[in-house]
Formats: sequence, structure tokens, C-alpha cells
Amino acid sequence: MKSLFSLALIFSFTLAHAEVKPADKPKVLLQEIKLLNDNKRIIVPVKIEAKIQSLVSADIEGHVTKILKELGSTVKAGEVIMYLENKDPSYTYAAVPVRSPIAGVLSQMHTTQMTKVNRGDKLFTVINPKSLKLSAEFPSNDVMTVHSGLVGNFKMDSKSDLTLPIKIIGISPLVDSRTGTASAEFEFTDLKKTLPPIGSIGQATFEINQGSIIMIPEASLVFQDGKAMVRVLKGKNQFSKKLIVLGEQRDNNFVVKSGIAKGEQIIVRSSRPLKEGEMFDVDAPAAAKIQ
Amino acid sequence: MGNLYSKPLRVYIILGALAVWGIISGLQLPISLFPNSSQITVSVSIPTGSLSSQQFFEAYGNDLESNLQGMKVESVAVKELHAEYRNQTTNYRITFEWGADPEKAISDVQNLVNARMASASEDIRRGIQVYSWSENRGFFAISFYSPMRSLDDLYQTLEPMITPLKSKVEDAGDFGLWNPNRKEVTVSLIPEKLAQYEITTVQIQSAIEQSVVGLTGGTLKLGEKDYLINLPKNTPNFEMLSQIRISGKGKPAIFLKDVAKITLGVSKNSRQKFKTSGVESLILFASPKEGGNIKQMSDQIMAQLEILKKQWPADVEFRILVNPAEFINRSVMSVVHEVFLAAFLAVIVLFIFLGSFKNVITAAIEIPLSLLMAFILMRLAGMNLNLISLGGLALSAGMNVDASVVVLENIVRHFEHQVEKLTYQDKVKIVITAVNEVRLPIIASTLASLVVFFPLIFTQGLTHSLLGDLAKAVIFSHGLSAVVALILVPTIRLQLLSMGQNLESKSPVEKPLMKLENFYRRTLEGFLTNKKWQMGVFGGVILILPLLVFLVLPHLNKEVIGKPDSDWMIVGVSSPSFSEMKQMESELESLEESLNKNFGDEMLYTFTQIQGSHDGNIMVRIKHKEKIKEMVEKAEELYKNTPTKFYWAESWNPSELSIPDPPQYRLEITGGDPVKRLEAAQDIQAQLLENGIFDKVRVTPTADKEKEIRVQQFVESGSASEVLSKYELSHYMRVVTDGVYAEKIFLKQQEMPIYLRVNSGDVTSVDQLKAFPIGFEGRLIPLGALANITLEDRAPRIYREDQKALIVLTGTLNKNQLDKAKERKLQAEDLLKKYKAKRDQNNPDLPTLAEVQPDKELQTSLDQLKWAVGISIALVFLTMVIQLGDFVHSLLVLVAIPLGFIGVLISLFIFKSTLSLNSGLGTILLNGIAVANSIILVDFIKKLHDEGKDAKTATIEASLARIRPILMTSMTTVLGMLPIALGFGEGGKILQPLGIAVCGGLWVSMLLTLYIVPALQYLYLHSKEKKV
Repeated sequence: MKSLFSLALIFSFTLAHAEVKPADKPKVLLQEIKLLNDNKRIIVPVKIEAKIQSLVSADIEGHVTKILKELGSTVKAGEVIMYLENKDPSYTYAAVPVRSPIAGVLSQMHTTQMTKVNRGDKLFTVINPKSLKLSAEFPSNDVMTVHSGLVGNFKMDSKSDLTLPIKIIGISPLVDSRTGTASAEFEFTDLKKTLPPIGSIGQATFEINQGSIIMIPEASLVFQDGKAMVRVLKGKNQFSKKLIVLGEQRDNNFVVKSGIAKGEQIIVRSSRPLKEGEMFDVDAPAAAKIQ
Repeated sequence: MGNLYSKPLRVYIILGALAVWGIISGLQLPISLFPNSSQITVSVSIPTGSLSSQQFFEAYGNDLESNLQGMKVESVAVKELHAEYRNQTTNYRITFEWGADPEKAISDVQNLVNARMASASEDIRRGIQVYSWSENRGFFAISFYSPMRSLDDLYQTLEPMITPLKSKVEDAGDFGLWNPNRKEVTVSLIPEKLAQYEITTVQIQSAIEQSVVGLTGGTLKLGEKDYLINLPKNTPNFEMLSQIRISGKGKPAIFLKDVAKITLGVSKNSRQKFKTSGVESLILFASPKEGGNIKQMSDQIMAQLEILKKQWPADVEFRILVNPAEFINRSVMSVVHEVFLAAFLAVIVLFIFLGSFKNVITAAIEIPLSLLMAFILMRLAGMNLNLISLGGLALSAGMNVDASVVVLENIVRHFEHQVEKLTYQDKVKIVITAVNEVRLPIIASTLASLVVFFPLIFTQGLTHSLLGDLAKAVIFSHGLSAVVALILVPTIRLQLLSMGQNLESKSPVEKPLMKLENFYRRTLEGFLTNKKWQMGVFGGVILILPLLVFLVLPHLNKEVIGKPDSDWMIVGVSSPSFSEMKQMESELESLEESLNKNFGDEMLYTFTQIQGSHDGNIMVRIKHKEKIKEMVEKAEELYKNTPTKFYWAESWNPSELSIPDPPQYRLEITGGDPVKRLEAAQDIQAQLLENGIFDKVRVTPTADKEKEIRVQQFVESGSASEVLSKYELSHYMRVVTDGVYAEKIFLKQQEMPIYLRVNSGDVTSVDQLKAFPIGFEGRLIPLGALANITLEDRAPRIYREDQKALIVLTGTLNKNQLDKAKERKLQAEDLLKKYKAKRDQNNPDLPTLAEVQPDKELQTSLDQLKWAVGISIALVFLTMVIQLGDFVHSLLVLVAIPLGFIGVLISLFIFKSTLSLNSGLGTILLNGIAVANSIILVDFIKKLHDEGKDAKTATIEASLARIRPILMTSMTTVLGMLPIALGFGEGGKILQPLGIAVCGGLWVSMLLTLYIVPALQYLYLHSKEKKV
């Protein structure tokens, strides 16, 4: 009997040792709901071209007897670039000068000395590097949203930090059925800045304000019965779930149609799943460092 | 027989020869950690081609599933079939019952799938993959690093030395040095240039492919013979790549260098990084081929590395991550130590009772001899030395002296009454009589303790493959010990006698033993006559047994088999908010710093694994494995989750036998509307997690509504085909996102893949994707104009188990929370009940929610063991009936068994051990030993009573005469198993529950048997006397 008693003692001892650890208080990351500009962003690739550009072709058949200007040299309007000569008597055996119709830079040479050219063959291109235009194509969906005079930005590529202000100067009313696009032209508005070289390709971004919206990150959503909810801060360190109506998804954010107002704080992330009514600590925005 | 005993030399030579054979067999036995048996899982992956998941299921899936489910590999059936139908691939996982031949299984599955998919389109059939991974095969891993070299430099240095090793390591299947910095030739296309020249990515890929492809130009007959015209495959080099000509339709040709930058560097796809103590590392990974010996493989690799070490530069270092041989050696050695310790303890017990060293050695020589002879049988039976079979040998070490003790004691007893001088012939006669007297009882009691293992032969699957070896080892060595006892002990005895040695001896603790006997006599007398005492003890036993069964048994933790200690701790981090690998890397760097600060003294080295931006972990090799639990707890305390980072810490043992590790909770969601099913899974998952019921709640296939970026070409405007075809568009997108493999080239004899990528930074938004320029007739068309690019819900995956569509939700507790499993499961059940009640009961679309027992495998194993215990009791009873020829007496013998159960349950509970296969086996073993004790009593009491003594005298005399042998055999067994029960050594934890069960059970059973069995028999005999 005595041994039974001591056994019972051992039992109670072991049971008492099964310690219960208090669960750690969860930590949360909050975000304040703000009214954001609902910017519809349209990005299109653009090609930089010269606004004033002249492609000169041969008026007569003949040989290129002399080229006076080097590629890349500056030429004045009316300056002779090359001579053509035709042995036919009707050309009076004289070399015919070919002149640059505009002032600019000799940018392309399509022929060489002593080449025989036919009437209409390309000879050279002169461009005016100071007058640039940007040509682009707008998808048919966006044609109704953009308009002449709309201001936007130019970037060499999506990663580039350098932006240049641009303006739409014209949009074709015709949508090309083969590409589904309408052609458009832009120009740089700040000419004092260093402009990109002609021929380069970049990106034009236009933002059209369509009013204001509320957006929340995808991580803040919780679902119940298939319906989306957010956890709204209640008091200092509790939350209540609120049913919301979601609009479209923009990358990893959602537009909220209704259910939440400006100024409210929502839980974006938590250190563990939270139960409604549970108390938590609010974490500083910068994630806590390890001890 | 007499002839045999009187010719000692012949006996010694025969036994000596057997011992030598045993040593040779023992050395030849293959060594592994666990028995050679595995459960194989074959995976099949099939691309769905142009079919949607639903279409694929209807066209092929249904038929495939029913065929796969019904297949058999050499009569081993399919246990589980899991099928998942996704949008691009379908995966099947076929798990066979235990014991299927892996290679046969793979080829059978391959044949079946090929036959069933014969009508499918070429692109589907070509993509079929069948493979298997048996976790039990294990692997070997080493990290190489040098603080002075770049990873690539290190790879260049080591690779030419290490790769050829494969041919020298016989058993290696997979073998290779792994450089996580995957190198590639990146052709980074400039989208603007592509647009300018109006070239598609498809054109570039085919240009690269055609520049290397081998072609034929037909055959030409030259004289009598046909000659093939061959345009052989080119092996392009780096410089040649940039000169590849790309020609568009009717446009001047351009070169690859005009539209792309070609570089050689670390692949963008490299999402892994390894570090050893903070230095970036290479991994040498090897796993044995099917049926290969992992220990031999690891030993060979280590030996080769030792040789190579002298050749490589001094700054190159390596650290062992996983060396199964090391663990196996240590485990095997520690079990060998246990065998020796058990034998040593048994010898001490013998000395205490027998006194003379000569007597002790006569009896104890049997321990090594029966072990060695067991090796012969093990070798013949095709077994190997592993923790389980060695455990069996360790167990039997203590039991094996029993037979010798009995023979020895009987011979001594017979000589005690002889006064006059005996001739040698008389001595031989006496010895023969003494041996003959005990021969049958010894064989019978040995049979009784072996017969309990008999049912194990008929168990299946896990139980059989884990315990079969143990049972065989015990049967071999214990069975042989009886034979040795009957031959060797009398021979040695006789020889010693013939040499005129005086063999009289007294126990060194004779006085205390006498006191003990006196105490036993007094208490037993009192017990037999005092009705109150009897009622108290009987009542107590009858009360405590059901109490233990109902109160303690359910609280014992269940596991299949104990897990060995580990010297690796892993601390892991996951962060859903990191987007770049660099963030994870710096996070792990600060974690390593903190680990050094907090655990520095206990750490040997660390190994860091970075898996992409979201996951990473640091493995810490510790100095003292006893501290692992404490360290893991401290790490859990130190590294608390934050809203953006989640930590986990656990011990990791690469050499652990992979056994089913079932979740604690399993819910199957079937029927109803597929969307409702998903929503139910989502809700229940959230509630289980929010209430903290389980630490991990997994939903298969998924609980989230998956999204996809859908690209739909504007077909109506015609722009789709004019500018880019659908294929060209998808190819372009793939180049922009993941990159497209084009070809491979050889650089410095190294194969290097060529990938087409786009040089335009990472695309991080849909808008950026839409802005990609496509050249068309001198214009730049934005990609967004060609297709509608939107984020959409994805078609749900179809997941099926055993041909039934369902969603499976499982709840798992962290290892340190497992003791709460029962309570948490009840909470989950309660939560589900409430959830069900809340649902709209009239909605016919509601799915069915069914809780399913998650640990089926464990349950079946334990159920089988219960049956084995039951049958073993029945067998013992039958043996008793045959031996005693009496029903009531046989039942009396069995009384020892429930008494043993009391001891087992109490000790398992007190020492926080588990209900596992091994504690079950311990119980079976205990049945045999406990019964042997009570047999000695019952048999002798019956004999004396039959000789005419009255019930009381017979009972007391017999009990007193038998107390010493009972104490002796019980103590040798208990002490023999003590090292196992204490769980020392490398693999100690595996057999610990067994040791605890036997030790605890046997003590309690012996003490109670000494009183309860005589008392019951006395009452029976007394009542019989009264009747007469």
C-alpha cells in the first residue's frame, strides 16, 4: 500500500512538471489607409526622330563624281554636298551639284563616289539635330484616354532615373487594323536639357488622373466564406474584421471599392495568424532586428 | 551424450571452429543503419500539352488512375495513389506497400504509363517522366570552401579531381560536385534593337540552334558504295556566338552582336547559395544506387578524399555535412558496447549468486559464443548488422546465460549429495543425469521465450520490416544459447571435475541472501494466511491495471520508432516580403552573427543554405549532442517571429530512418461545388491557425485562389498574327521573364548552357510588360497593343487520392508540442463541429467535411503489434498446457503477464517514453521472460504437491527453493537491458522504449509474481484439498 502511495506521488510530480508556456504576444505591421490618386498609367515605346529631316535622291541618272562633305559634317541650307555627271549630251557635260535643302548634319550617305545612280536613288540624308520629335503607337484601348497636349515623361529605359518632360503634339485618328494602334507624335518640352540622340528608343509614360482611390496590399487581405476582409485597428492593440468590396488588382495591390475609409489603420502582416479580439503589439515600420 | 561430454577436446574444437566461422560471418555481414527494406514512391509527371487540367483528366487521367491503382510489382500492391492535375502538368505519386523492388517498380510504372498514353500527342508523350526517390537510401554530403578563392575558381580546381572519383566509388548512384553558381552564356537581347531590326526572339533562337546543328546532305554513290553527306554539328565557341547571322524575311542579315550583349556569368536562375561558416561553398553530393551500401560508399569517398587532399591547394577546406558511415559506425559501436556492458553486468550478477569465478566463466562463456554463432545464421539468412538486429543481440545478451545457469545449478545440486569418492565414469553418469533432467525444461522455457516472437513473422509492412530483424536476432542467439548450454557447460564442468578441482563455492553475499530468503519466507507465509492482505493486493492489482489502461495508456505519446539524437541544429528564416536573394543573404548573415554570439562555445561550424529570396536556413554542427534539445529551445526563445520574418529551429538528423511522420489532424473535403470546397478549406485553415490549434496547417492542392497573368491576343483586329504569332508572343514573354534555353557550348571543356534573356532590368509590373517594343514596318508597337494582359483567377487544380477528388487539410504540431496532440485534435474537432453547424444546411452545393485518422500507418503497425502480443500470449498458454498438462496451472503461469503490463505502463509513463513498435516489442519480450519466472514457481509447487506435500508446505518450500534462480535470471536480464533503457550512445534513443518496457515491466512482474502466483496456486490447491 505504501508503494502505491509513493507511486501516486510520482504521478503528481510528473504531471506538475508538464509546464505550459504562455503564447508570445503577436506583433503586427500596420498601414494607414490613404486616398491615392487613381492614375491610369500608359507606357509606350518611342523612337526619337528628327523633326526636320531631308532624304535627298538623284534627280538625274549619272555618276557621283565628287562628294564634298564628310558624314556627320554640318551643312548649310543650299550647300553643295556632291556632284552628279551624265555623259549624255543633253546634260551639257557639266557636273550637276546636289545641294542640301536644309541646314543640319549630314547623317546618312547612301551612295559612294563613282557610283552610277539612277533617277530616284537615295543619295544622302540631312537632319536637323536640334528639332526632335518622338513617334509612338498607342494601343487602341488607350486612344480615347490620351489627347494632344497631354504631358508625360520620357525615359531611356524602365530602370533609368533620368526623365525628360514630353508633350503629345498629335495623335492619328486612324487605328491601324493590323497593329491595333494609332500613331502619335510627342515633343520634348524642356529643350535646355541634354536630349537623347536621334534614332534611340525609349519609353514614354503618361499618367492620367481618374479621381482618387483606396488601394491595399494583397498581403493584408483575409478571406472568410470566400469574401475578402481586412483587419482594421480597433483601439490601440486590437482589431476587427471588416468586409470590403475589391476592385481590380494592380500588380500586388488591390483597389478597394467600398468597406474601408481614409485614415483607418489596417494590419498588413502579423507575426502569426491573429484571432479577432486578441491583443497585439504594433511593430515599428522597420522590421525588428534580431537580438 | 556421455561420449560427447567425456571428450572435451572434440567439443572445444567443434565449438571453436563454429566460433571462428561466426567471427568470419560477423565480419562479412554488411553494415547499415536500418534493415534493408523500404517503401518506394514512384512519381510520374506528364505535360498536359494543349489540354486543360479538366480535359486531360477526362481524356487520360481517369483511365491512368484506375490502372495505376490496380498495378502490382511482384505481388506488392499500390498503397496510395495521389494525382494532381494542373494547367500545364499532371503529377502522379504512386506509393507501394513495403518491400517493392524499386527498379522494377519504376520500369513497371513506366511501361504502364507509356501504354496508356500511346494515343496522346507527340509533345505529351515526349515529356513523360517517371522517377523515384527513396528517402531511406540516404545520402552523403560534404561542403568545400576556401577563404581565398572565388567559388568558380574553387570549382575549376576541384572538379577535375573529384568527378573522376565516381568510377572508384562502386556503390554511388548520384555523385558530383555541385556549384550553386550555375554559369551560363547569357545572350541578353536589347528589346530596342530587336524592334529596330524587326526581329523576333524565335528567329534568334533558331539562328543559334541552326548554327550548331548537325545535318545531312543525302547520300552519294561513289562506285559501289553509298556515302552519307554529313554537315557535322558545330561546337561553337564564345567568339563564334556573336557572329551568328540572323536573317529576316527580305531584310539584310545582321549579326547576333548587333542585337544582343553576350556575356558569361552566373545564371539568373541560380537561386541557391551555400556557405560554410560564412564562406561560399561547393557541395559534393552522393547517394547510393539502388541496393547499394551507403556505408561502404561513404567510406570509399572519404578514403579517396584523404588521398586527394594532398593534391589540392592548402587553402581548400572541407566540412562533413552528412556522412552516414560516421553515424553508422558510432551507432553500431555503441550497440556493441551495450552488448559488452550487458554481458559484463550479467557476469557480475552471476558472481554475486554463484561466488566462484570458474562457475561464472563456465556460464558466461555462453554469451559471446551464442552471439558469434548467431552471426552464422544471420549471414545465411541474408541479414545485415544494423541498429535493429544489433539491438536484438544486445537484448539477448542478458537472457543468454539463463540456460547455462540452470544446467550449472542442477549439476552442482546433484554433486552436493555425493559423499564418497567417485570414479570418472560415475561423474560422467551424474552429469548426464543432471543434464537430462533439465534438458526438456530448458528447451521448453527457451521455446516459450522464443515462441512469443513467432507472430512477428506474420506482421506486415512497417512492423515487419522494422522488427523482423530484431526478432530474428533474438531467436538465433537465444535459441543457440540453449544448445550451447546443454553441450558446453557439462563438458567444461566434467573436465574441471576430472582435473580434481574443488568446485564448492559460496556466494560472496551469502548472508544478505539468506536474510532476503528469510524475509521472503516470513512475508509469503503471512501473505498466504492473511485474507485481508490478499484481498488488498489482488484488489489493488485488479484496480490499478484498468486504471493504467484507461488513464495512462491514452496519454502516452505514440511514435513508430524512437529517433536517434542529432548533432545538427537548424535555424531557418522565411520571409514572404523579401523580393531579392540579397535581402535573405544579409538576413542570414546577421542571424549567423547572433548564433555565434549566443551559441559560439557549442558550435563547431555552420552551413548556410539560401533558397531564393523567401527561404534560408543555417545548420549548426554542435559539439555535444546531449545539448541539442536545450539549444533548440534556446533558439526558439531567441528568434521570435516578426510580422515580416518567420523563424524556426529544430534538430536535424540526416541518418534518421525515414518513417511516416503523419500530421496530427487530417480533414478531407469532398463533393459539392469546387469553389465552395476551396472556401471551406480556406476558412477552416484560417480558424485553425488563428486559434493556434496547430502550428502548421497545410492544404493540398492549395487553399488560395490562384491567380495568373492572362495574355489574350486581340484576334478580332487581326493584329495578333500580323505582328507576332501566338507562339512568337509566348516565346518573347518567356525570354523577358524566365529566359529561354537555346543551346549549349563548351568552354574550357565545360558544358555551358546558352540562355536568351532580355537586358532591360526586371519586369516588376504589368504596365512594364505592356510597354515592351515590337518593331513593325518601321513603327514601335507596344506589347500591350497586341494582347489584353490582365490578372485573372486561375482554373482550379484537380487533386485526387485513390481516384477520389478532394481537398486535404492537415494540421501539424511542432516537435516540442507533440504532447498536446490529443488535446489539440479535440479542439480541432470541436471547431469543425461549430463550423459545420454555422453553414447553411439547405445549400446542396456544400462540400462534405470528413475528419480522417491521419496516422493510419502507425495505427496499423500498433494494431498488428497488439495482435502479435495477443497471439504470443495464446502461444505461451498452449506451450504451458502441453508442458504442464493442466489448464488451471497454465492459467496461473499467465498471471505474470498482466503484472508485467502494470510495470510497462508505469515505467513508460514515468520516463516519458513512448508507445512505439519497440515498446510493443519489449512487451512481447517481457511476456516470455515473465512467464519463465512464473513457470519455475508453478511447476515446482505442483511437483511438490504431487509428491504429497500439503498445499501450504509445497507452496512455501517451492517458492523458497526457486527464489534464487528467479532473482538471478531476472537480474541478469534487467541489468543486461539497463544500458538500452538508459539510451546511451549514438542510436540509443531508438531502442530506449524497449529497454524501459522490459526493465520496468520485469521488476514489477517479478516482485508481484513472487507473491501473487504462489498465493493463487495455494488457494487453488487448498480448495482442491478441501474437496477431497
